[in-house]
Amino acid sequence: MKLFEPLTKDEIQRIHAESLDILENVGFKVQHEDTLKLLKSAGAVVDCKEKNVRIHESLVLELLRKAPSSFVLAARDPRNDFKVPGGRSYFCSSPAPYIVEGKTARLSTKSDAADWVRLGDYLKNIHLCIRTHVMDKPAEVRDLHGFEVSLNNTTKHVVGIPHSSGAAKYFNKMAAAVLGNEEILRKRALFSTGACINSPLEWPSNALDVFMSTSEYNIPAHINSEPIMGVSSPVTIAGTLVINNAEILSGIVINQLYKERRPCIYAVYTHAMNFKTAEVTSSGSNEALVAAAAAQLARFYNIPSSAWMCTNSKTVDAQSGFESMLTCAFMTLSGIDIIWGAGQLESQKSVSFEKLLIDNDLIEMMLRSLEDIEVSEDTLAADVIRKVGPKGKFLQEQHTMKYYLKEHPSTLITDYHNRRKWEKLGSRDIAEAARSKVEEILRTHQPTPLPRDCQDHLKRILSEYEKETLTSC
Amino acid sequence: MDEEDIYTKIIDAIVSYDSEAVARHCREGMERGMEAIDIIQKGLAKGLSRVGELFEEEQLFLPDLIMAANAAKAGFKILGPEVSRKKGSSVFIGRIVIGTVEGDVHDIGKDIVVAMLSGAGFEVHDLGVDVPTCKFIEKALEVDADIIASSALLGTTMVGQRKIENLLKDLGLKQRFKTLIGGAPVTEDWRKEIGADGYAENAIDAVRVAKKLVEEKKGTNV
Ligand code: B12
Repeated sequence: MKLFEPLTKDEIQRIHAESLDILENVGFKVQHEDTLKLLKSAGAVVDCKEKNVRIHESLVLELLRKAPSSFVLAARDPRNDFKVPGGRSYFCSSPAPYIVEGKTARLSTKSDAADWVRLGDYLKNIHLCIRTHVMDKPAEVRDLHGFEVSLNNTTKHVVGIPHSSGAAKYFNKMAAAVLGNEEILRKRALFSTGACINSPLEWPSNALDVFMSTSEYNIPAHINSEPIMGVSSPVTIAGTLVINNAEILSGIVINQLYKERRPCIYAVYTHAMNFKTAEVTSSGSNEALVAAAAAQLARFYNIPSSAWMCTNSKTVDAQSGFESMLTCAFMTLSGIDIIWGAGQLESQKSVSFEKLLIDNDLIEMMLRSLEDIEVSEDTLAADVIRKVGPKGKFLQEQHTMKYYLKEHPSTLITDYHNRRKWEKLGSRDIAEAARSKVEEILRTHQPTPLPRDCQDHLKRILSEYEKETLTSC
Repeated sequence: MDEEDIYTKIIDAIVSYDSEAVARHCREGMERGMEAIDIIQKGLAKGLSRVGELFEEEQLFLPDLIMAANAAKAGFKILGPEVSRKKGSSVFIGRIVIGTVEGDVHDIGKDIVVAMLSGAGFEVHDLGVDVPTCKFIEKALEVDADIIASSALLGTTMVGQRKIENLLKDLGLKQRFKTLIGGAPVTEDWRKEIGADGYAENAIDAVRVAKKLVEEKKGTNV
């Protein structure tokens, strides 16, 4: 398939050149002593007082070349492993502190987080699972409760994004416990992690702690740049891309210094701000265009990419449908490798179980549209057309069933009944249909549980962490 | 031209965020012998609340709001010294120490709040992001603040706002400062739960609540 590519080759070159110029002449801040030392000994120009780092183009490019151009995101069940780039998009569910039910939002609990991961585990078009926030546990230990819940409730690849510095090390321990030992973790990264640069151009200590403490095991890293256009990056798309690109390249450089050949993901979660309401959005056409351009930039550097489909709606309504569709379409058609945000509402502030099912159907259709149109003797079907002739029907032909299953998406809840049947079924709109399907799935779907002793092991790691964190403050 | 004209001109200049015009009309007012404090109240403050209204009605954009707040500041710069000279007191309507709590680097919302508060005539001491609990209180003691304001954007860092309350209580300083909290996940319920004095959901609201807290504080002081 021909990808949607909004930038010309020349424009990519210009963005590339400007971002390298920024890294060399403006630099970026690094609030992390160990990293400053590493950068300095690698040859960067480090101003220790200002914590500012400037890097010559040649060093950036040299380190960039060390980042692998493809890698596997492993899962507890190896059948769920997948490789990026895979010539298609893979999808991740969404994190958020709130769960939307109808028109209201409530805080997510540990048991919601478990259900959320379990639902993602069931859905065919979710390939990476992330928990909702575990808001009913003490703030200091939420990260680890969330990671435990993730490992217990899916056999797919898990995304572990700690908010606190200390938790990342324990993520390693838990993942190693699930796999058997640390050696296997080094080879099969059961989870990937990620952290954000503080746009424009400042790496906070938290973020680098997360990257550093997971580097030993070669855990794939989402290098997140998420400026807000007009607030923490220029208001123009081109200017924002310069910031995005410079920031992500700086993150890849740092991560290659932590560990050569560490898998890095070029993650652009750029936002816009609606200047009338001061609301930060992730759902509009500008955000979608930035992502499409970012897919091109990531390919230019041979790094797998990631972006975030979204809506700013507070509830499952038409706006939530068309915004998710718009962002998802730009991202899949431009060749983004990993797309976050399935099930999300409110520009990342909440999620909805129903929306996750709706997005699963949306993705099913999008993925179909990405496939090549097969033009062969058999698909041109000249023989069948000749056989059927004018006024005939194709229904009874072998050819029809053969390709129906192959070429038509299979959705879960999208309504294809006629009105009479629809009324008989309760005249449900898609949110209502999704609700009953969610209930059914959560009642019946149970992913292969971890062995008892492994579950206990995770609990022990959790209480070890609780002891360490809750007593130290 | 009478005094009303000057006020109208200052208000218009703020709405169109023309710092130079704000300064010019403030000077003009002083040359005519108008009281600086009147110019502040009937000109600058009115202009800014007009801007706030227009923003809430979605007739103005956020950058307009920030630029208008900066324009108002230009006026305070001129009138401030005059007021302090005459009254022997500060021109500011209150003193606020503000920051984003420990472990949290989100500052976009906080910076908007800072701009609006300083535009509205508060003396604002901005401690930046990732501010340790004790730092809030140290600074508040150092500058003799009226209000300690904190912003939190993460579910995991909201506890920083509770820590401020607890530390104030432990140090016996709870009566000395008013506390104001905000940030996307923060709610009125959370305010009640931790015992903070004020909560505001946006920057315009923050000015209103901060003014109320300063009045309450003055009320209890007499
Ligand atoms: C921009 C952003 C970032 C930027 C911050 C840049 C910056 N300089 O601030 C970056 C990329 C650095 C970032 C990092 C992270 N972020 Co962030 N981020 C956001 C985002 C997209 C927008 C926040 C924002 O600026 N809103 C706009 C402003 C104007 O709104 P506001 O802050 O609410 O402020 C208004 C009011 O609340 C009020 N107000 C604010 N402060 C105060 C203070 C007082 C005293 C008063 C009275 C009022 C008041 O007035 C303001 C103006 O009206 C939100 C999602 C979203 N769409 O909201 C996530 C979000 C807040 N981030 C989130 C997360 C998880 C993170 C990270 C942990 C991700 C990671 N793994 O790296 C890190 C944490 C870093 C850290 N230690 O703090 C989560 C929080 C979930 C939760 N509640 O627990 C969110 C909701 C996204 C998500 N679903 O994952 N983030």
